[in-house]
This record gives sequence, structure tokens and C-alpha cells, in this order.
Amino acid sequence: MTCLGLEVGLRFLPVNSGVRMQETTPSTPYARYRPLQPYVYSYGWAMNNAQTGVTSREGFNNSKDFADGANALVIGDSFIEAYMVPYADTVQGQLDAALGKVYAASSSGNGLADALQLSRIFVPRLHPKTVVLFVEPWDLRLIDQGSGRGHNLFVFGKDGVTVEHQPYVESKIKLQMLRSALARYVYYNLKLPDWAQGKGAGPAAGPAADAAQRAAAVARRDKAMDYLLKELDGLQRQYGSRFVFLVDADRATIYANGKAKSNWLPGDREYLLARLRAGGFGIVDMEPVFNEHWNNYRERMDSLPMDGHWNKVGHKLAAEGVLKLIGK
Amino acid sequence: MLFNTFAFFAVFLPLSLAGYFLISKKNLRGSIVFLLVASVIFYSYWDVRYLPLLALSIVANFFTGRAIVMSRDRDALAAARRWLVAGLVFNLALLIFFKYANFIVVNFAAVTGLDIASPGIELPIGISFFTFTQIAYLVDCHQGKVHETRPESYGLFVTYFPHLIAGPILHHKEMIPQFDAPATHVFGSGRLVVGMLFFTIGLFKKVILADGVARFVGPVFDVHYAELTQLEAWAGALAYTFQLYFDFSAYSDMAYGLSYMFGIILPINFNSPYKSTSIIEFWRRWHITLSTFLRDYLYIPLGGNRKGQAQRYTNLTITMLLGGLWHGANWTFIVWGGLHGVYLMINHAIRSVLGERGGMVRSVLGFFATMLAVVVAWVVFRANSLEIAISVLKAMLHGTAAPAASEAMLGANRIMAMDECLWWLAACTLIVLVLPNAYDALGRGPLPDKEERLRGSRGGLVAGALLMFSLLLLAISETRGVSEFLYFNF
Repeated sequence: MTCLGLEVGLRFLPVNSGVRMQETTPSTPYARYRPLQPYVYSYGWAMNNAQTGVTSREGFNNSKDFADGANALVIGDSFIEAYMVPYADTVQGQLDAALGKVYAASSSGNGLADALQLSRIFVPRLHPKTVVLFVEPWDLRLIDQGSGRGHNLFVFGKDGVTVEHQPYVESKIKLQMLRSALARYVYYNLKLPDWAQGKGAGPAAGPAADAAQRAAAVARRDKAMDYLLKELDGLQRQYGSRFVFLVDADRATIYANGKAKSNWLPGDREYLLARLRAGGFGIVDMEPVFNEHWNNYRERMDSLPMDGHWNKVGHKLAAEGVLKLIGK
Repeated sequence: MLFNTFAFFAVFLPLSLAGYFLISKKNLRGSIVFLLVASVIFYSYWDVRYLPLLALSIVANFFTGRAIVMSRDRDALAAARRWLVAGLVFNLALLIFFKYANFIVVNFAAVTGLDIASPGIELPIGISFFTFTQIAYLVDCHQGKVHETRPESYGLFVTYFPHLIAGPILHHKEMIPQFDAPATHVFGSGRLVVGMLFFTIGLFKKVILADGVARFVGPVFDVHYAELTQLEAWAGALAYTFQLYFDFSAYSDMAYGLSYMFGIILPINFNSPYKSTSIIEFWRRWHITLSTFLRDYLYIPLGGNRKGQAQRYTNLTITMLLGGLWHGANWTFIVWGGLHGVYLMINHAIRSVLGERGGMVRSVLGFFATMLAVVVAWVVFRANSLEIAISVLKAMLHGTAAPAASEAMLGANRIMAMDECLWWLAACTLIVLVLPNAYDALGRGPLPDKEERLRGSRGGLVAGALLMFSLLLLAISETRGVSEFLYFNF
């Protein structure tokens, strides 16, 4: 009775609908959603920040439908996909308002291997003048790690680094289950499966193992970055697109006046910026921008502690940074 | 172990109830021992390191109490008094060492300029509550209110898990007769459902209301306290006012409900304090068992109101300062206690002038004045330092944000979702002022009629609904990150 009551009640509330992913194939090896799919987004138990929308024909959120001759293509993860921000407030929405023909190819959980795969597929199709590639701390932290289904990962073989795709096949049981508003609430709003997985995780490794693992991870990070930047440089040269890296700031430490623990691993951020400079890539570093904004207005660039994704302030400052760099 | 976790609700509680009532069928004393062991496991699950301290405290107080009773029985009143003093010194020494040593050393170093580091002693959870419970026990022994002492009953009286961590502060005479009563040990499905009703009301208050409004407190008190608009400062202060209210009210309801399931009625600790029309009334409704303890074991022994007005105010001030200090080793708590001491003095002075005159106007004005005084004092109570408290209070008075803050892109939502916050505050105000509390709605003390009505299929239906609702609330609590009850820190 209670379940039935909850089911009926939740059907009138903005429960996160979830967005069905499209199954991936060898010719489409990247995460995207079913095209033209209406959705409801909300966050947490109280269904905060409810937003509605429809995915694009290419299966991305917060993007106009793609057309050749793009002025810019924005590639990234959930920060760019940005279910929590209306299209007009997103980086790509604001760039489109300023430049026209700006598109976004981003999906939640994307890493740098996904960014490379998306660049390989969409740069030849759209011929964008600028490719804005969003990078956040976890992109570097997890650069040598496995990926979720539908995503790509760097594989470190004897012959060097390659990119491998993990196919996504939709679960029929999950599909049936998520017809229920109560199940969707528990799955997407409460994220009960994530919590259960976290509870089942084993203990962390000791400090000695940490140091050895970190050294090995740094070596793999360097190899992956060598490969990534070489491939992107090749695309730049072949198609005349310019790659601009949009690098997230260390917001937690900005808010805490340097006293909070950084999301970047020690040295990762400096390493990334040095490599990009050496490779001649464009850089929009949000650190000084966010820092200045915080000092002037004491205004957050996200919705922490509820949600660490950029809010409209973060997106606006990022768009201004990109426009400044590309000359408009 | 926290009441608002799956581990407690789905594992500990059913096993404890089943074990207690099954053993009760065979052996009443055995069920008391079982509940004592269960309570010790409950405490140790949190942090087993403090178990030896709890055990030492219980054993020492048990034997001290017995020595007092035996001395009284022999008419050796001087010896009984010596045992009482020894017991009080022991308890206060434990409390001072574990709760106040860091504070004393740090302040001594600050005053003398000596380079002494804080000893970094951790606060054992529940020490304030189990120490005060046992001080009251020793005094009751000395006053002849306690005549028998059985170790398992005494152990359970102190460790009984619904009250161990955050109260209420119990009296031996209230609990032991209930432990001994055969009726207590008989399982009743109606009793279980009534207990579940209280528990679920408390769980809702904790998970939805207290933790829901809590997110508007941190940005004001922990991040932006130096630069706040007037609206932000008031929103943060009111959010904390409701967070603390619902958090403590939730714990009290849950503890009451849990204990009800075991057939044991706990004293009511919280009785809609924000409906008070005076500070005197506020203290009769907020943390009732602590207020009663302070009155009976501190204010009255100091002389109470028997030695003239000046001495009465001095006694009030001392009682409230120590009551403040009981909450924690920080100047903020002392100032908070001092503020309430001043409030009480003013309140008594007004009452001595006006008597009972004033009617509705007095009630309305009294309500607003009381709320204003309470909110201002909560700001001091919540702030991590007096500097932060003064910053927030200044912002409540005239705003301290830089002029540029008015140009923020998010406007009033600059530091938190202000529009949501205002809705939350409005909802909390309505709930606090308009709705009856759990005891007004369901009843106080044993409720045999209600239990009778909730037996059988109707009770099963209600129990099923409460179970599902509780599981949903626990899922929200666990997935969001379980938050402790605020009074666990005191």
C-alpha cells in the first residue's frame, strides 16, 4: 500500500527520468543517448534543480543538431552535458549565442580517451574552427583506469598506447524496472546502487603500496598524454581545427582559501598545463578566473555541497574565457 | 551506532527486540542482562576504544552508590557524605579530563604565553550524559531515594541504548521499577506499532527536516561568515535554529519510540520549545531532563530562590554558565549559557513587576522576544568561535558583504539557494508553530488503548506502512551520507 502510494505520489513529482543510452557499435564507439529523447533531470532526495529537455538528433544533451562548418565543437563530460543548467546558460549555449554554429558532444563519465574518440569522429564531419576540450581533475586521475560501458579507455600494450571501446548493451531488466517512478527515484535520485557499491568496496591500500602505485600511474599518465596530444595535434594539422583546452579550477581550495584538499593529484595540474603549452595547444585556465571572481563577489561557481558541477556562473566565466582566447 | 542507519534499523533493532522478548519468556533477569549486552554492543559499534572508560565509570559509580546506601542504612551519614563527595570528584574528574583538558591547556597557554600544545584528548561519545546520569544516581543514593542495587539493573540503567548517547538524563527511580515490572517484558504487537509511530516521526524530522535545512547553515557559519548580506545572515541563523530543533526533537522522539517498543517509557525531553512565550517557559520545554538536572542538583543546592533576589540571580547565572559549559569546551558555549542566564534574570524581573498581567498582548510580545533572544543565542552556540559569532551577529544587524556582492550573477542565491532556503524556513515555521508534537498527537506515558487498537490486521497494515516509509527515509539518509545527531557532540 505504501509502495503504491509512493509510486502514485512520485509520478506527480519531478523524479529524475534517467536518459536511455544508445547501444554502441564499432562505427559509433562513444557514449551517447537515444536521439530526441525527452527527459526530466533532478538531483538528490528532494528532487532539487528540476530541469526538462530533449536530447539532440546525435544523442547529446544541451546541443543543437550538428551541421558541417561548425565554428566550435565543445567536447567534455557531465560538466558540458550539464543537465543541471539550461542550454542558454551553458558554455556551448553562450558560445553559440556569440558565434553561431557551436555544438557539444559530451556525455556523463567521459574521460580523455572518450574525448579523443569523439574528436576523431566529429572533427572530420563538422570541420570545426575550434574544438574546446574540457578537462577536470578526474580526467587525469583516472587516465590509466578502466572505463564504464559505452566509454573508451587507454590501453597500454607492448606496441604503445591505443584506445579501446567498452560496448554498451542496454539491460532489459533495468529498462522494465525503471518504468516505476519509485524505482527511478531510488536509482537516479538516491543513487542507492552507487551507495551499495561503495559499501562493498574493499579497504584502501597502505601508504607504501600507494607510493608504488602512484609512480606506476604517473608513468602510464605520461604515456597516455603523449599519445593523446600527438593524436590531437595530427587532427589539428589534418583538418585545420584548433584545439583549446578548458581546464577546471581547483574550486574546493579557492573556497577554503587554500585549506581544503585539492581534487587534483599533486603535480597533475601543473603537468597538464606544461604539456599543453609545450604542445602549442590553446589553454583557458579557469583557476585565475574563478579565483578573481570569488575574491570579488564571494559567489560560488557550482552548487556544492549538493552538486559539484558548474552552475551558470561557472559556465558564463568559462564561455567568456574561451571567447577571449579565440578572439571574439 | 546511529538510529538513522540500516545497520541499526534492519539488524540491531530486530535482533535486540527478538532476543529481549524471547529471553523474557524464560527469565526476566536474563532479559535485562541481554539488553545490557545489546546496549554495550550498540555503544562499542561506534568506537570500542571508549568501552573501558564506560565500564570503569559504571563499576566505580555502582560500588560508590552501594557504599553510600550501606552507610545510610547503618546511619553512618558522615561516611555516606564522604562516599558521595568521592563519587562526585571521580565523575567530575573524568568529565574535566576528557571534555575540558584541551580547553584548559589551550587557554592556560594563551594567558601565560607558554608554548604548550593541546593534549589532543578525544571526547568519548556520550560521556556528558552517562556522567550526569550517574551523578544524579549518587545524589539520589545519598538522599535515600535509592535502596537496592543490582549490578545488571544498574548497568542497564546507565547503558540503556535509546538514551546512552544523547539522553534523556534518567533517574534510577524512574527506570528500575520499569525494568522489574513483568508487564514490561511481555511482547505486544500494538506496543511495537505505537513505538514505531514515535520512531518514524523522529526519523522523518531527522532525515527530511533537520538534515534538509542543514545545508543552509554551513555556507553562513563555516564559509562566508566574514561577508554576509543581512538576508544571508538571518537565513543562516534561522536555518540553524530549526536544524537544532528538529535534530534534537528527532532524537528525543526516536529514543522514546524505541524504548516504548521494549515496554519502557522514557521521560519526555522536548516539548515544542519554540511555542514558548517566555525564556522561563522555553527552559521548561527544551532539553527538559537537563534543565531538571541543573535545577535539582545545582540551582537548588546553591540556594535557589531562598536567599533573596540578588543571590537568586547569581545562582541562575552560575547554573546557566555551567549548563552552557556542559555542552562543550568552547567560549561560545559559556557565552551562550551566560546569555540565557541574563535572559532568565530579565524574565524573572519582568515577571516580578508585571505578575500575570498582560493577556494576549503579553503572550504575542513574549513569543517574539523569546524567539529573538533564542535565535541570537543560537548564533553564538553554533559558531566555531566568538569572532565568527560576532561576525554573523553584525551581519544580522546591518550586513557585512562588500558592495560588489550586490552585483553577483546569482543575486540573492550568491552563497546558497536562497529561494529554496526561504521556502524551507517557512515550512519549518509552520510545522513548529502549528502542528502538535508527537506526544500531543499520540499521547504520553503508556497508551494501552492505542496499543489495543493497533493489534491485529489494522496494526499490521500500519506497521507495514511505517516499515516501508522508514526504509525509504533510511535510504535517503544513507545515500546522502548519514549525519550524526548534533547532541552527540555534547
